[in-house]
Amino acid sequence: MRPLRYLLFLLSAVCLTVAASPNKPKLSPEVLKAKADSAYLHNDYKSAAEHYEQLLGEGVDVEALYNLGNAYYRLANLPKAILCYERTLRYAPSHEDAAYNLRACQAKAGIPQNPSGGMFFVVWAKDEIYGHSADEWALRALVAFAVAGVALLLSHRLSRRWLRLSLRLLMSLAVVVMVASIISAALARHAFTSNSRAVVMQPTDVTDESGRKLPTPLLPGQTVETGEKSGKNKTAITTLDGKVNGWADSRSLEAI
Amino acid sequence: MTRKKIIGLVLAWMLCLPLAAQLQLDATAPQSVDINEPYFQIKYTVRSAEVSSFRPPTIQGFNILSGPNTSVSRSFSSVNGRSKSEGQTVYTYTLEPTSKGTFRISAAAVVVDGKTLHSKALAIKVDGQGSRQPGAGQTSPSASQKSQAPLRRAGSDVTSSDLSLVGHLSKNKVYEQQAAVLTYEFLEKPGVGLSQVGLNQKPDFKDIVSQELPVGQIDATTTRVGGQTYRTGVIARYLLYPQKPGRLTIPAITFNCTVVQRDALLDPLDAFFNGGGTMGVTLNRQTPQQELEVLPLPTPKPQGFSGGVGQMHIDGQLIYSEQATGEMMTYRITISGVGNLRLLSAPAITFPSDFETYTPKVTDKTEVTIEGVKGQMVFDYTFVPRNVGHYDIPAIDFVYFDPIAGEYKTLTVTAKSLDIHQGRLSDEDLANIRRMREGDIRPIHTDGSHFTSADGRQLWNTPGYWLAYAVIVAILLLLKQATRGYARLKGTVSGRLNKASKVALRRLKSAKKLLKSGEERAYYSTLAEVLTDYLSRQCGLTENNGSTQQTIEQMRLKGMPEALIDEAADILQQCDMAGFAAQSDATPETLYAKAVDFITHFEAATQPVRHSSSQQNPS
Repeated sequence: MRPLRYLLFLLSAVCLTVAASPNKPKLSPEVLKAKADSAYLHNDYKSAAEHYEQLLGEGVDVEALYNLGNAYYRLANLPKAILCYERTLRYAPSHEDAAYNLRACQAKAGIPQNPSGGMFFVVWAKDEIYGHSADEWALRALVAFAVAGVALLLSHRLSRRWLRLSLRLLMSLAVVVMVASIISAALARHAFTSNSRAVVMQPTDVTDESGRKLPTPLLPGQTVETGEKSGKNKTAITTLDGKVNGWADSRSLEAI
Repeated sequence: MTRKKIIGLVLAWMLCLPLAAQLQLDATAPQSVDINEPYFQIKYTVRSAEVSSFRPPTIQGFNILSGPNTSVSRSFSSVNGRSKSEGQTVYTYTLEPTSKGTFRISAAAVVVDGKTLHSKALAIKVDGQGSRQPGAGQTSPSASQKSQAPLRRAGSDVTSSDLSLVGHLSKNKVYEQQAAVLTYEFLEKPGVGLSQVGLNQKPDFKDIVSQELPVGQIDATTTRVGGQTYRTGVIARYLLYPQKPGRLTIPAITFNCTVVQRDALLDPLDAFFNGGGTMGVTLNRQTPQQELEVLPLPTPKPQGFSGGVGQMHIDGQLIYSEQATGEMMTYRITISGVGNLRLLSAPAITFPSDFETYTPKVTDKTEVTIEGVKGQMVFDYTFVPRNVGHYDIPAIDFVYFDPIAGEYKTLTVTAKSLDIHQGRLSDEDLANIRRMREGDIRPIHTDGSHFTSADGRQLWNTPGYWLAYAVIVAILLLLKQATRGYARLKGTVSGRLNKASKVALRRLKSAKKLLKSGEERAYYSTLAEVLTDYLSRQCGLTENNGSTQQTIEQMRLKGMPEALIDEAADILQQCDMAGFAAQSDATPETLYAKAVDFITHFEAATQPVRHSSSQQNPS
């Protein structure tokens, strides 16, 4: 046998032997979630948080993200809990429990709440559009399109005049719903991709352009809009009520 | 060898390389050590936090000052939203070189997930100038003692003079609530092979609040006691806060000790390559009972004494975004220093009656150190002003006892002023906020795991989504074709009846009312009349006197299909018979159904005929 052949054969034998060593079995996402949920229900919140983090390392699981927020809440880490709920709502804007828990955590953290005023229709429209994901709107548009098509088909088949008129009205409504849903889907998608919000993780002072400290610091758990970053670990921020505008330490912010 | 075979083997080798990064037990040690080094360390590391057992190596030629000391770490990192968890277990020996030469340490082993991993054997060279010299603060073994301290044979006695545990108090006399540190140490003769010490049972310190201090890795040193060299190290430490004056007893505490002894029956070659050759023996050792004298705090105690004992500071800060009605504000009182901080209760603050107040939130930012509990206790008082106006929060006095100065001290937080203006939140908003603040969050969801797309969409604006629209259009077109065929089958082109058919069906329905009112003869004659009129309109039949025979003949002359003629004849004849003789082969309902069916069949069958006849007879 030539030396090269012998060497390659030896290397292969060694590598295959090594490869034959058993791997530590990786837990499936379902098992990992079950373990995390079980730990939470047994009040082992630290272990639950670790397992949820491990699961989220493999992908975005909205319910695991929500549960992780609950685990951090139980561990008295309100900023982390708020961050998890904000992330949950980013992927699932219609997640009612996450929205409730977010408001509850903000109330407990003493985060200033925005008043519920404004023109009714505008407020309602914004809540509706941004309260659902692009996929939810897309599905609505698809269903409305199918309803419009069936109504059109039936209106040509039925004999009674009042039925035909009713079906044509239904078809018109369905078309309007379809168009509105497509527009809402596009808006919701834009809101998702252009998201620039962050959560403040620790008490942070805000400075103006000249470096002077503003009287209102950022509170842990507060959500802010972020802008450009400067080279000195500073990020431009604006509070959601628009009252505070300035620069804050980038290291105290975590993007949603 | 062919080129293909070579490439295949190389690829197999490259494929196996990542797999080669499997779990293994790494042994790290210096290759050479100076004889004058006071100590050095060897470590056995495995990338897993789930180690079920450790088989120590056989160490010859060195004094084991401490070990194996176990350190387990777990880390979770999150970068750009992706998390990773890792674990590691490290076993550390601290060894002392005793003479020059090259000494071999056999392989150690660990069991992880049921699999035994062996480390490599080590060879450490001890060289340098001179012979072993005593370092500062250390003693060298006496000449009569062997320079190596081999492990004792299995089954050897370990007496209390070979291994014992002692306890020391940092202070024997303290004030009530003043901290004292209780330290437990082991004293071990070289060669005993103490490898682990653990508490048998958590100590019960009566009338004393205790906090266990972290000891970490046992850092053993050598010392001489009564002319004997011993190895000593701290195994446990407690911070004690006596709660009442008098002479308090610290009870004896039992520790479980594991000593490693040499198993002389094992083959040395096997012991060298595969580790082992040793066995662990468990012993109990008890510390002696001790007493602590606790002095009472000086009397009389000043008014408002908080119960704090130590060296403390207090600070007060108002936190708010806006001084407005309905805005949540926080008055933060921070007590910092060293002492019985964790035993302090929230200072009493008298808020103006116009403020809505909540239970103070306490944040413990202290750590237990050898000097005592050190850090900060933060008390957050949240309040909401209800009305516009100027308000003052009175000054706060904090009284504590300083045991070093031996006197009570009073610190004051100055009064705070607030000018509240009208806020933006409505009463309903405030009620909601209050309800959420006082309530609990919603529970977790225990459904299975479902991953969603990381970019937040799985449907919108994907090719599959727009394809779904095309699929719906295709389905609708198919349905349209299918319903058109069905309508033809049912005899109504495009699903509609012509006007004559609708009129005939309407008249037939009206005829039914005659049946209900018991006018059977009128019912049958109406049925016949409706059919005859229908045929006159549809086929352009000339008016006749209603004679069935004439109607049938005219249908034949018009070229109507025989089946239709027979069907019409059957119905008309039955109507005639029922009308005259008040009896019929068919029931009234059956005749009615036949008449309706006839109209339908007529529509289906005679469309072209009707079309041609309508051209001839536009009426």
